[in-house]
Amino acid sequence: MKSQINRRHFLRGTGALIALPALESIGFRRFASAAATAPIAPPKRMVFLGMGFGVTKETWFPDTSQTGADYVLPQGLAPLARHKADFTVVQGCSNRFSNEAHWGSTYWLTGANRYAIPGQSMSNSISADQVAAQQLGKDTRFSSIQLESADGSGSGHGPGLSLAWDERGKPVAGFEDPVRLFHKLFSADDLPLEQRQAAIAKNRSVLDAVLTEAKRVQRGLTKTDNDKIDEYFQGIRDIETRLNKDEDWLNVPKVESPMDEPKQGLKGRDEIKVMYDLIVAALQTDSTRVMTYRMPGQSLLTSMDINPSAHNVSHYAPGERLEASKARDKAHAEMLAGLIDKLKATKEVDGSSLFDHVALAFGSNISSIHYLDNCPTILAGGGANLKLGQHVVLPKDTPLCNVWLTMLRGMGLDVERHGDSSGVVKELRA
Amino acid sequence: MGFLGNAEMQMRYKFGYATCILIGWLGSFAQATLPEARLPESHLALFEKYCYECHDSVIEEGEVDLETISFNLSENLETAETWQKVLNALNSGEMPPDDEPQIPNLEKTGLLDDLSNELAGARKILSDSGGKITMRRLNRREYQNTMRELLGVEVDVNALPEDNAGSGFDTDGSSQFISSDQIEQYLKIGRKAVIEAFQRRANAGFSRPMVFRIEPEDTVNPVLRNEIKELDDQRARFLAWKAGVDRAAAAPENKEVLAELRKKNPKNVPPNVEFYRNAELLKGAPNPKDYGFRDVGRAAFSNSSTDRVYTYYKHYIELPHNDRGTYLKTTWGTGRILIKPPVGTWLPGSYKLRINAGIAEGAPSFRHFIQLGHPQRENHLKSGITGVISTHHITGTIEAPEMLETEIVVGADTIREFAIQERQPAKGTALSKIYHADKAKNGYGHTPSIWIDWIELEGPIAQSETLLDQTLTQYPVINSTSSHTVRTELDAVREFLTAFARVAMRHTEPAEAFIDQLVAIYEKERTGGELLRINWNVLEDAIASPISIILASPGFLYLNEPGDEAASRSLNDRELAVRLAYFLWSAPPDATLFALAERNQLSKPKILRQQIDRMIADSWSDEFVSGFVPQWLDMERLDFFQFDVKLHREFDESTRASARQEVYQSFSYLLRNGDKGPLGNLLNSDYVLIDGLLAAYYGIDGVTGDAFRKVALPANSPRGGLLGMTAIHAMGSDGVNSSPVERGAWALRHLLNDPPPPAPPNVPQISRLNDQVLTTRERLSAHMEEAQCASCHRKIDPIGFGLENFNAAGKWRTQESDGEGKRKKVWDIDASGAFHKGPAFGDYYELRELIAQREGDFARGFVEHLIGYALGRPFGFTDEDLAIEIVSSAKKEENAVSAFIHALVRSEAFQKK
Repeated sequence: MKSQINRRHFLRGTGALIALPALESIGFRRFASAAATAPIAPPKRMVFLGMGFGVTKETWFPDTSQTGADYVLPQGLAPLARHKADFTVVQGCSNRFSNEAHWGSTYWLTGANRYAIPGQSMSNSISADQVAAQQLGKDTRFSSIQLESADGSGSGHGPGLSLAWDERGKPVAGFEDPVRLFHKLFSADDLPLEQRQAAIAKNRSVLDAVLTEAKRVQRGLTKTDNDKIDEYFQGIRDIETRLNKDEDWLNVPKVESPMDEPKQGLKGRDEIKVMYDLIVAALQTDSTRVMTYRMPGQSLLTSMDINPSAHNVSHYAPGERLEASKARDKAHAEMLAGLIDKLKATKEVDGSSLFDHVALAFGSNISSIHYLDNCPTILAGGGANLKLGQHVVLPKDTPLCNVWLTMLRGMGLDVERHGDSSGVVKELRA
Repeated sequence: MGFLGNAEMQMRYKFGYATCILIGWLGSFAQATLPEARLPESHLALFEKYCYECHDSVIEEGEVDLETISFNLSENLETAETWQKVLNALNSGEMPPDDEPQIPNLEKTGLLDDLSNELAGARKILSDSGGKITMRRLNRREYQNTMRELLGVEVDVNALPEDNAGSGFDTDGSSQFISSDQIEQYLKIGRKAVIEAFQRRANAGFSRPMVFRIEPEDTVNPVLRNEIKELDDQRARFLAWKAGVDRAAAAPENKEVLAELRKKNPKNVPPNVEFYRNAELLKGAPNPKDYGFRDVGRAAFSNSSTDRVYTYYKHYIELPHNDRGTYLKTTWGTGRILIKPPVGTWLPGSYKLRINAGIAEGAPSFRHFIQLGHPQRENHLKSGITGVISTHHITGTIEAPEMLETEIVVGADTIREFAIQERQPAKGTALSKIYHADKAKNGYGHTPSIWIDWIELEGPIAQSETLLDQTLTQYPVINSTSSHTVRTELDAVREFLTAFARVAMRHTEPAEAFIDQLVAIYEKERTGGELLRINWNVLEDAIASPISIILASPGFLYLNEPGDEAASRSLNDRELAVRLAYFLWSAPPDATLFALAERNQLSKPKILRQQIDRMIADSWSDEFVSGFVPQWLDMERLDFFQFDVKLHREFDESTRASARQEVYQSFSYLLRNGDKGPLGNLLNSDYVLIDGLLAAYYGIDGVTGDAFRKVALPANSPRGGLLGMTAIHAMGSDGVNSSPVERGAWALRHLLNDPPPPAPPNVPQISRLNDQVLTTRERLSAHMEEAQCASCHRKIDPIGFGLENFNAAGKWRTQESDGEGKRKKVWDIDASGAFHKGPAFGDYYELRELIAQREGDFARGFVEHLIGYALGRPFGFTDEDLAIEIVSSAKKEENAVSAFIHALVRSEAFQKK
């Protein structure tokens, strides 16, 4: 194995850095000042926030007769009032293949048909964030970061490990512990460079070894089993890719954290808030440009001293459950408003704000109760060049993937189509 | 179809109505017969009348042409998709459009019923495995068990993704996946486990185990005495400060201040707390700091905070026998006894925990239990644990305490601090209302219940040899002390690694090149260690790497069986041993199985039969029970809810755990009872399998201790069979109220093998009745108004109503209520009803009897799940023959649970790749 970094490699690493924005954050300043002479445009970032069970239909969606900029913000979105010009509410979209009334996240960003593959009881396809990560993830330490919660299956997300699904339609794992994520992002590797290089080299030889075994096992397998072992090979290749990336970033110290280490054991509302802070921190330091967060549902309610279960609240009816449902909507809107505050307050080197370069979507595949039509969708940020401050009502059953496609293209990504998209949503383009 | 449909009838129902198919099944079954899910042609007239105006071949509105579409829903994916669209449009009420004639309710209900069920059937047919068993990897349970067998270490699998993320059993290879994260986790977990295993080997050298004893009169009581002293002192300081404030208040110069305060709030007068909080406004008032209070607030409240606990503490310290033990308190004060031996003395291993304790006279039976866990350290309170590890029945009296003994397993990462407490809800303060109610009655608070004499910890207990130990004994690896003999060392390492890989890979040969690479990795780490060759630790660290690589390699992780899709072959004996062991033990084969396999004896029917019986009798088959049963019976919901303490105080984590065990134990009792273990006993039986805790919960006398045992029931008991179990009813609730819908759907799915289609999206929710005070029955009657609801709920709800005598926590009740205060309505529960198109029942007992009569359907459902679990593929049409064969074979043996297992293992499907 390679014992020292060769020159080409080094240049590649530095080259990536030069392309990085000269953020105000500490970590990159010296590279920026050394390398950049002309101002560089801050990079574009993408964030998806999925809440699982849907919203309170009666109080969350704006009146469909009021469209454009001149609409009354409904009760459920009231905490977002100070940002009314900064986000757009989209109505009328859905994923046409979705039939699972309790799966708010599985197909939210993919638009896939569960039964698309004959002989298989469940399948999925790539999610919008991973499409973005393929292009936006090249120049950052982490191609994408998925956040998750340890909430269990009672929160209306459906199968999956996070909101993200890879290009083979396999679930992508996420961080559920804010503290672990914090250390992954910001804690320095104490080991000297040579030892870290040696560690990478060792990891490579570990991969080589298991690869040998995988090839032995592969021999004589049926076609189906061969496909199965192929997942293992793919896993090895993915680690290899990550090792290459680690190598590229070996001589780049981790950036200093703009926030304090989160407290241990946060649950529900506090957990979401600190994850939002970590999202800002990760984007601000350009550790990654693509993030998703599959948010807690059950523990959010528990942290708000709401007794009925998340599922029961999703089946709200006048009385305790309806009030709980509205309280949850309000809590989400408040936290989202807080996130927008932070994104706006975070300055890029050119004086613009982080918010100007983020494309953010908040919502679920579940509208409310057991309804899968009219997926609740909030879009915010200037990253995808969308018309903000709007209430857009699209024809019923517009593919939600059209919105994702509009975002992806708006970010300047070369994407022909996504999921079951039939085109971009012109109404959303600025 | 008759109500008491036997398995054959059930099959017809599930897979379509086409007559030709029916004949095919009843006659000699031909493999070539294509299954279909067909919508009865009788609905055609309805489509003609209400849909063709737009959705015929000419107009094809929305690209839906109902005139030419096939009524065989399973024809292909596209057809199924179109019908799904039709179903969705009908369910959401979108079709027919409002301004068009509407389908009469009854006809629509019938159509929705057939369409949704046939569509579910079509999905099943279209996703049929075709008999293929996709290679699978060890799931989390199996991985954990296998690692324990190899290394003797309990690994934490929480970092690995859950296995049934898709749907179906965690043994289903086609829905499993593996990712780069996961491979890295295997490497990480493996390495950690190997290092712990080495540590344990080193510890095994200690001949005398550690013994640690706690006398709580020396640990808890002094704290309590001190707390009382502090409270006494606090009260004295408060009274002195208050006297000063009172003096100031009496002074004429403060007259105006007093008046102003009273004007602000009439409560601002002595002796109210509110007044003293404002003490600093008074001229000449004493400074709270001089009395040891941080501020006026602290000072003013110090009296009431003393009051809250003072008499409770006083009462407890003055109880008899405090000189040689202590009483466990709840809600306030030191509520737990810490078990925390000095740092460094608690090596990884298993320990005996002994507790000598008794019960205070008159304590209610549900308070005779202690919980063991790790103390919570989130706040400063000296009570609470982070989760219940186990619950134990205290059986002695204070005069004649009894000793209970249990085992604690301590791994490398285990928090070296345990605690016991009286059983209580997860949120300890939840009992404060009860505390105050008790206090109002007796003047101090909770009555004492559990008295602890002493606690003793001993260990580590000698462990049996692990497979790693055995391999190391056989192939010793001793590091060389001179550079001349390094070669010898590497050869020994090679031999050891080859042998260990063979063991880990279930007696298959690893690739030679793989071992070469492992040795190279070893050598690099070994020499990387600054030539510290004489140090054992270096050797162990260096060899930990190759071992953990073996434990992340596909030969270990995958249960691989070479094969050819075109020509299936019989498994060899070794492969059969592996399938069998992972089926019945969720763990690798033991030496006996491997030995039989090596001599090609295992596949001999007589020996196979003996081995299955041996495996079932072995305690390892508990792993099968705890792996299969919760997935078969869909018990995930049991963990969904925190139960409302006000309504269901006794349903805490301890009850939850015992309730789960009751289901498992009832099943394994039948499994291990040979030909006297009929599956039907799960539908109705004259006995229960319970421990002391559930006996107290069910009000059954004479059962003590933590062991589950069979207890005969009186003739009129609602218990006996799954429908009498707390777990089943708790699953059919939301922690507050019972849910007839959940329960009814569960019974259809798991007892009657007549699963309702999945909850459809976009069905309008009826909320008209929500703010009214109604009986459950009245409320759910709304389901019958809309065809979209009625098509399923007419089957679901009546069964749920029949189970209404069980509250959310599974306790028997005869009355229920809705609303609060003046609006409160109480009614007698009426559990009578009738199955949809089936017989009527007058009460719960009759319902249970009717369900028990459908043992055939229950058996059929059980077999379908057993096949799915054992073969690692979703049960599908391909398995029809197999299911029929197993059902009829088991019937000949009185439906004994073990007979189903024997029949399945005997089958070709199980023995072929």
